[in-house]
Amino acid sequence: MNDPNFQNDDLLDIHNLKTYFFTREGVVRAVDGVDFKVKVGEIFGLVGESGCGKSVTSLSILRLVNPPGRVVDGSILFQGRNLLELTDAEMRQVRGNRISMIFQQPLPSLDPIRPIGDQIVEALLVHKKMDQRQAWKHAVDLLNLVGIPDASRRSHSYPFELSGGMAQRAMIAIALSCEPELLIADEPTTALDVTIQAQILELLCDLRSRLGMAIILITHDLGVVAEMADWVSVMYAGRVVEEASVNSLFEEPLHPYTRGLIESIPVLDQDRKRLNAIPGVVCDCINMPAGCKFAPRCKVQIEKNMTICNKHEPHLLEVSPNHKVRCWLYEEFSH
Amino acid sequence: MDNMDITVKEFSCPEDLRCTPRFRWHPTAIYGLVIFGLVVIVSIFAPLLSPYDPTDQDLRNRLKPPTVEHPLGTDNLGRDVLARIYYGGRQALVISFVTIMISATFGTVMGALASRRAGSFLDEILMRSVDLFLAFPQIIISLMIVATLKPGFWPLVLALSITGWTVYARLARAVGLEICSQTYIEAAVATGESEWLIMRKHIIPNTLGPILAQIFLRFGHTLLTIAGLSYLGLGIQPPTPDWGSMLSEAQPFMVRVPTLLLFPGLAIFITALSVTMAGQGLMLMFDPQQKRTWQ
Repeated sequence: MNDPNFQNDDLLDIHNLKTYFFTREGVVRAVDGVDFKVKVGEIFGLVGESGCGKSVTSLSILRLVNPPGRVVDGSILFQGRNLLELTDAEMRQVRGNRISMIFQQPLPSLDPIRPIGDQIVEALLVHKKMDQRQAWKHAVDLLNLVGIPDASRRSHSYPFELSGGMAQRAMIAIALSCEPELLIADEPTTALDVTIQAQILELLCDLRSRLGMAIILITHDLGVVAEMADWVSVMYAGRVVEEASVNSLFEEPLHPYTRGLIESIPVLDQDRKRLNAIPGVVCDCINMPAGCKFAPRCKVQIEKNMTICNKHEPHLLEVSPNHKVRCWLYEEFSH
Repeated sequence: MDNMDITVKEFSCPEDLRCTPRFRWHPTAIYGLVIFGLVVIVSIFAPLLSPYDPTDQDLRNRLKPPTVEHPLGTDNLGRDVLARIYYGGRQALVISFVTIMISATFGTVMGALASRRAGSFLDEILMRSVDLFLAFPQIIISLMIVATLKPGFWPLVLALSITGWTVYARLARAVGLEICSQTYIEAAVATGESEWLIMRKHIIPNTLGPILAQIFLRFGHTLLTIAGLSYLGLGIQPPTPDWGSMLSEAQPFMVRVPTLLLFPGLAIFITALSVTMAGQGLMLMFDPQQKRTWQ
């Protein structure tokens, strides 16, 4: 709590974040005006299909966007401090220490030629004043915490000796080493098989309640979000199209895109030949449509023949205290 | 419980299914290392092996063919050739070793730096200077440096290092580029590690495999370059015995006493070959994908 004015329970407050990629073909607006808040100890789900900007959002928070990408506008207040205004050295103090991140692919995220214990020790020594032996002991404790059996022996294992689930646990141990206030989990279970997925998610939930950290859970799996998250943002083409508490979102999805996503979840007890899918693909990132980015694929827009959708982009409207949506269908709530 | 007496046989895993791959020496590596080991031992224990001093002249016994007293004959000043062969590798081996250490370290660090900052101004400067060095024949640059500085141990090391580091820099950059695109580098940044730490702990250690192979291959090459410089009179200076300078001294007598050329030539050949063989073999041993082709 570096800022004395920081009093509310918003851990992270992202406002109007814009991350553009300046490519030879043109400017790709990967993240275009994203707003959301993450409260202390909350699991915040960030949902969307591939290429909607959810990973770039998470990379922007840690300022890990590489050229030709650049955060061009907005603010990322973490505990009242704007991360975008920190110096590189100050940012290094935040990375891994206050905010850490776990990646989609656990194995490539571990250095192949060093034992996992050694890699946890390194993460510890970067931020904490400890000697090698204390750090190693702490590393073994962490491996125990994330549920790796026979941790003291396993700490000497190399990444290639671990299974995917084990490697993800080791990754989580590294991320948790300095007890961060915020953990960004970028599709932490996509590369794992279903049973391991469940174990990892359970572990994350368990760690959240034990350590009291907030988690930003990035995923395209609505089932995972329904199970884990407290609050959800649905992203489409670099924008938040719907934001709600998890109950509100699944009970009453408002945006046609969110409805489409929920309808496209396969249901076991229904006899259907084909999955319900949203027609079309995510729009061309360089030549975005002028109006609502989802309009060309939107069933409702075509049925109701709403011309406004193709001309003007709707604002994020507050429909109820814990539900916001970016769609012309709910225009009456704008006042 | 007698009927329940089930004996569990100790499970023995077939050879090719063993969980941990057994460490096996590649024959080429063994031959290379053994021969090179012999060369090093002979060089170290030269004073014990030879009854003659390599610089003792005996003008009455000049250019003698091999005899019992002088198994490889004597040279134009009546010095024992075998003694000179024993001593002749000492300087060259040490210079090669020091040169390799300096140029490999410098080149690897520079290459790793360039790979982490690929496309930047620093990368351009480093790699264009590498191109500049590679555009000249190496021996010419070495000649220029040694000729300007007076021949000696350090001038030779300097000359060879200046031309040698470029190979490592290029290799380290090429390997480093691939490493820098890996997620574990991104993960290291996300952990808050400084650029220096990432370089030292992740990038350089991961480039060491190919660099090590290159070191072995370059050792023989450096040895040959030293011999070449000595042959031209700019390497190790007389009266210190050296294989390369023995060759150049033998040149006027090569028709009368061809063995004078033959033995130092063989010594250089065997040493360079053994190091290269050791390098090749070790490279095959530690490359998991090559392993299957010989095991």
